[in-house]
Amino acid sequence: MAHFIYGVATNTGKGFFTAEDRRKFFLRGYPADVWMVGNNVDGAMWLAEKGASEKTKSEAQALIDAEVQAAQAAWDALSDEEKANPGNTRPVDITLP
Amino acid sequence: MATYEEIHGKRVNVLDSDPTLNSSYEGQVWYNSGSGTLKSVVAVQAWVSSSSLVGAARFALGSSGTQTASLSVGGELPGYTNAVEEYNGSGWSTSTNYPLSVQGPLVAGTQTAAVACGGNTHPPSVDRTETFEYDGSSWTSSGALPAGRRALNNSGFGSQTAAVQSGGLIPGGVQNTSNEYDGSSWTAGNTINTNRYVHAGAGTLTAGIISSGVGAATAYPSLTSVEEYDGTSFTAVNSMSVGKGATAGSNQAPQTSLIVFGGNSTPGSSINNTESYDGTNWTTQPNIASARQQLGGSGSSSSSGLAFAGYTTTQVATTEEYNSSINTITAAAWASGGNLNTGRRSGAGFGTQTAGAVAAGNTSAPGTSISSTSEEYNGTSWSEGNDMNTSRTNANAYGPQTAGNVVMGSEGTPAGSNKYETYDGTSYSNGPTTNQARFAPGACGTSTAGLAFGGYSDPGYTGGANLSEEYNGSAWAEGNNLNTGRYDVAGFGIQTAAVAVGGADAPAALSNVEHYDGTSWTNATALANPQRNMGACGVQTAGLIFSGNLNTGGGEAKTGLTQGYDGTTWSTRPSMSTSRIQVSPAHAGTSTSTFAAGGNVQNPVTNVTEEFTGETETANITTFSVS
Repeated sequence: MAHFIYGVATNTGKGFFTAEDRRKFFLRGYPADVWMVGNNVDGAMWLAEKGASEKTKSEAQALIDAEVQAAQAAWDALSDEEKANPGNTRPVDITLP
Repeated sequence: MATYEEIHGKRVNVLDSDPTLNSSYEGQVWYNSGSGTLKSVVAVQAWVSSSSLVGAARFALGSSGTQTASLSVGGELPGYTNAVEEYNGSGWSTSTNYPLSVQGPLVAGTQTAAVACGGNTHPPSVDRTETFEYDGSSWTSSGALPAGRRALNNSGFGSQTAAVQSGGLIPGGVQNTSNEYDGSSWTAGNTINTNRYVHAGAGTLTAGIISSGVGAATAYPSLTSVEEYDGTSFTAVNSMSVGKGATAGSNQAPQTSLIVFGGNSTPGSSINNTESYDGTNWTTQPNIASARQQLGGSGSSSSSGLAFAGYTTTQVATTEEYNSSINTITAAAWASGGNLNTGRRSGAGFGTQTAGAVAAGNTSAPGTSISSTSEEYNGTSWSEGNDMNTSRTNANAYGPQTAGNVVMGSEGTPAGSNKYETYDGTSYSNGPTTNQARFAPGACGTSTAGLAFGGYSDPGYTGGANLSEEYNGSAWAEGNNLNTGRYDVAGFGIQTAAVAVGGADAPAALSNVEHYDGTSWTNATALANPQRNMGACGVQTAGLIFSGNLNTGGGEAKTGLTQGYDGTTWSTRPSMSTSRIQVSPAHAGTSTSTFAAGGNVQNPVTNVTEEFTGETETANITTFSVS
């Protein structure tokens, strides 16, 4: 059985995930509104309740890659002065565990 | 129907209010005349999640100690590690590395007086005989085991001066030998009855116990068998209900009150079973949440245990606490809060989790689009407030929502600002300028006793400033410098007891931490890894940092790592759900209540908020209903 399940859902703010949710199942958010959730009943129920579009790991990774690559391209287009600002570091690749 | 007095020979106490409870009250019944209810206090057994290890996920580690002072030694990542971590009841912190990168060493004793030996190093594969003693900070070589042994994990028991090693594995097979340690050398003891390895040990040299583990080749069964040790011989006693290999337990517990948890069932699937032992019988207890084997364990009784790291279907770094208590412990956690109206990064956050504010910041990523807008938070939602007088980003802020202070920042060019504004809960007012213009400083304090330190003082990003200024309610004055110049630095505390954490000094992030006592800065306990752009809040003896750029050795990456500080030691807390940098914190929050608003998850900026609530304990008082 897979250790995690993946879905896409927009964080709607207060109550999107609660402290109780965090205690019941693993939850980690990624760019492109990708959520990686512990593969148990509570995690699967949370994804369903949020109307998440469920993804395979490779589909979720592709969404993240596309977002990161777009961010990297935007950074590459910055002026040298903006690139020199340590607050504007080039986005790094993200690999789902 | 019989009365309570007829059954128990006692009358029920009548009290005006519920008593102050401790464990001695378990099972007692009283009548609360104030509320008119009959009440009792009951013990509840449960596992709750706690903070993960600081370093990489691992399994096949050595472990010992108690639930509030646990020790993790070595393990497999994969690739063997020499990492040592200590748990303080809330989170993990790194300590001095073990002299060998080792899998499956034995550890016995406490967090400040332990002995470790054996295990396997690779390549080439060598079953180690070396023994080292640990005093809480350093490792010292001691007398070697008579023969190398691997797969000892959590099987050791006793103390640093009176420990026992039993069983283990070598290429020739599963062992039944035992050895006693007297604080300087090992002496061969009598054999155990069942050959085993990766078993659980507990008790003392003269009243010890070993249980479970993996049995002899070639079947390698997960064992139910248990043996007690009297200082001379091992004797088989009542078996456990469930066979479990590669398990762990509360190995600083006495022979008559312990728990054993996790492990694997034949032929190797991870299990979550927990059993307690009272000196005679085994009783099934609540399962650990995460079935795992080759895990670390510690604990001091059948009421108190700690499970950490191990292997589920992959190696993990997670931690769970077991408690049998009249109190229910609710683990700390981050939860989603209301979304900002305007997403931003490097905004100035102040106030508390339920009365907070965020001002200014950069609404673009990448690139720069500075803002003067301000929002207030009521614990549920953000509402637009009046704008600041000067747009800026990378300012810092402190104080409550109705007496906020926003200092320095960048007004749009790569040069610092010396502007300072105060907020009264309605509007911003210009205050006295600082002596040196800077951006990305640290700051903390109050409207009448403020402190701002570090930041950039030049437009070329050539290095962090070590400048520090104090505010007395009417003017900024130069103070003594930081020892290490830095920008993107986190700060918390008050003017006379402040903390400067991490940051960067072009281009590298820093792990360095400094304390300010109102006069001078001194170096304090560093972070485990360089980190900058964190959120922070709290006081010098109870602080919290979270998010930021973290460098664990492979370059900087965004993190949701959360760490607590007690004035001496950094330890982990549950992480944020989403890694990010440049958040706006509830800077007047506490180590158990704050928020992280906005920041940069990925371009563009985000408007999401997460709220942190610390661990709590509440008494399990049962109210009897009348039917």
